[in-house]
Amino acid sequence: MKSRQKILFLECKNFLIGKAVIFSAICLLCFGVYGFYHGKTIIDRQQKTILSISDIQKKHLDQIASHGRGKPVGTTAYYPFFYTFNPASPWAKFSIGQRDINPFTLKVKMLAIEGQLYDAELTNPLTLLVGNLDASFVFIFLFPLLIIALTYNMISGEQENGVWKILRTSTTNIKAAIFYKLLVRFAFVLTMTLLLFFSGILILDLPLTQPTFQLGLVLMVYVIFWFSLSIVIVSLGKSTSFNATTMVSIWIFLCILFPGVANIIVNRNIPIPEAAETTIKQREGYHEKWDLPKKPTMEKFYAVYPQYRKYPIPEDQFSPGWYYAMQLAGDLESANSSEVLFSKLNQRQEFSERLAYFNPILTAQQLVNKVANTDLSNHIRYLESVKWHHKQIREYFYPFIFEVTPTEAMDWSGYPKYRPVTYSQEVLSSGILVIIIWIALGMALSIILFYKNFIQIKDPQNA
Amino acid sequence: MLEATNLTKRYGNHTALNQLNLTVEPGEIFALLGQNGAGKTTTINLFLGFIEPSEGMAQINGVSVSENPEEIKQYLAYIPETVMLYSNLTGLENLEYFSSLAGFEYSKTELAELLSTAGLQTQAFDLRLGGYSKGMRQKVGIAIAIAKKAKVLLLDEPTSGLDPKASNEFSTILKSLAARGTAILMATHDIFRAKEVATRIGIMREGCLQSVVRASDISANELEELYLRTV
Repeated sequence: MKSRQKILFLECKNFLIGKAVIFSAICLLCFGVYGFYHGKTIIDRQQKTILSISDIQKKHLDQIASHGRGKPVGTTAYYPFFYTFNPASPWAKFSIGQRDINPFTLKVKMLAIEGQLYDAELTNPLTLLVGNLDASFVFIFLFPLLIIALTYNMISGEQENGVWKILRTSTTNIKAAIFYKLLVRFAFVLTMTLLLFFSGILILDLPLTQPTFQLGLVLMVYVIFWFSLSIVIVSLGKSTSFNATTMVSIWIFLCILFPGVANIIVNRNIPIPEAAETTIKQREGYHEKWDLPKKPTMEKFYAVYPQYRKYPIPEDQFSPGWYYAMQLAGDLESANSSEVLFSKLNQRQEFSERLAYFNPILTAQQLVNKVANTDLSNHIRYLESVKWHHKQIREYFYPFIFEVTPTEAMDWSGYPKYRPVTYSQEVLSSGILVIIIWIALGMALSIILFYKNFIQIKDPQNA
Repeated sequence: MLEATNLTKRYGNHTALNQLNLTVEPGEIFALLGQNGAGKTTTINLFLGFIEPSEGMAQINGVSVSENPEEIKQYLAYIPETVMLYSNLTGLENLEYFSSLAGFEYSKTELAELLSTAGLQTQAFDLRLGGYSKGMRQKVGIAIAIAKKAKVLLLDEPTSGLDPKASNEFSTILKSLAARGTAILMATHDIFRAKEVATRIGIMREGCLQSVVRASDISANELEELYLRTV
């Protein structure tokens, strides 16, 4: 073995025998395995629900149609729900994202849509308290702690226990000695990343396609970012306690404080009064019509669907055509607010992404959720698909309603089937580039600081 | 080999070392005696290049320490009061690591010989350093210095805390190193060990080298009297 190989081998041995290294690595692997289990359990449960939807839908419509025999479609059409669902991508098991707080199934009636889009199920508050410990959580939030644990006393520990002075006087090339120490830790971190990631691929059965590689790339770049950040702190040449405190403080700031502040900034900059306004307008738009003459309501309906003008709507009694026209009026009157609401949600997403440029943790989280299709954009696409489906359902039923078709004469299975949103593959290059820029800055800074504090300057501690 | 010319170190208004002029030739052991704060460790640190002199110059093998802090590392080895090495590695592995880092390649047999030369018992070679006594660690430190073929050995209180037997063994090793032509500068509190091992002895007080005597010209009692008078 040549000198370099010997040094690397012994550096590795010295590093790996350390109890803290083994303990933190085992802890992280355990968390990782639990993360895979948790993500798989949640998404499998959701998929199971989604798979059961077609049967439930069929049974439900059969019951409604059977119950409505002898009545016109207009009366029966009030009752059925039409199920929609947001299928999970294969990568959602890796990063649940917002799939635990946003509904992944919605059942809509022919009534006004705006009041039905934001239904969500009650969630066990204890589950919310614990949060989602999925694989992305392990990588994004716990992996940095491993890196901190492996690097915080890399040099300061040796300075404090006296090894450094002997090391410093043993070689004319202290740069190489520092490099070997960094290299061993970096190799260990990368090995852990790859080990956990490939375990994830196997356990979660991730397809070996572009998104999986994108996911791997994002995680690698993210881990390298944390490594470079830790090295910047190490290169300051301060004490072990300073390094540990600073690194953990940075972790707390980037992982907890910054996202909290960013959320406040986003909410203040892009307020969404339209969220409540849409619901109120829709409800008022519909309910006030009960007390108004039918003709103005019908005129609004005819403006969209002029082909139904030919059907008589009695002014002095209830008619299903008028009832559903009222529902549509509610949606029409809240349409502008709804459009603004969706637009602002998209603006918030974009603004969050811009803010995330200042915090690679947010960037990485957003990138992982993008790959997994579990972010806000995916949910917005899902809600839009529900709106579209609702429109198709209405338009399928209108002819039967206005022609007063008997329930049993209608083809209840012929309604337009829901087409779920497809997997969206967004460009991640800008996000990855942002993290790479942070890495480059960190590397450059640490090289300068290492030179200044460990190679060039002479003081009793660092020399 | 090792030369200080008007070497001075000030920390603010405090002068830790004042106008030190000193030469240690190859094969010579120079012991610096003095109370705590007399400037012994400052002198060692200046020769190691750990701190910058405020005035004057420290030279090793004719090379200025402050101008070529990296180059001088090839000539010197350093043994502090307590030799701290990698406790997860064995004595042999520590020696292999530090000698490789210094650019020397040794076989396992050669490394074992080096440890034996330094006085370490064979059965300790493959034990982790975490289980070594202070004396055993000092021997590994000596082995590193020998492996590095250091021309200059700087020692800071090397026998402090060693039992008499270990201390005696250590002195024997130092003498053998000096016999090979190594220039040794040793800071110590141990008057009797200094008398036994050193070629010349310097007594420091408040950063100044007050007196220098040849060890062969003075008895242990006379040295003690001189020391007490000086400090």
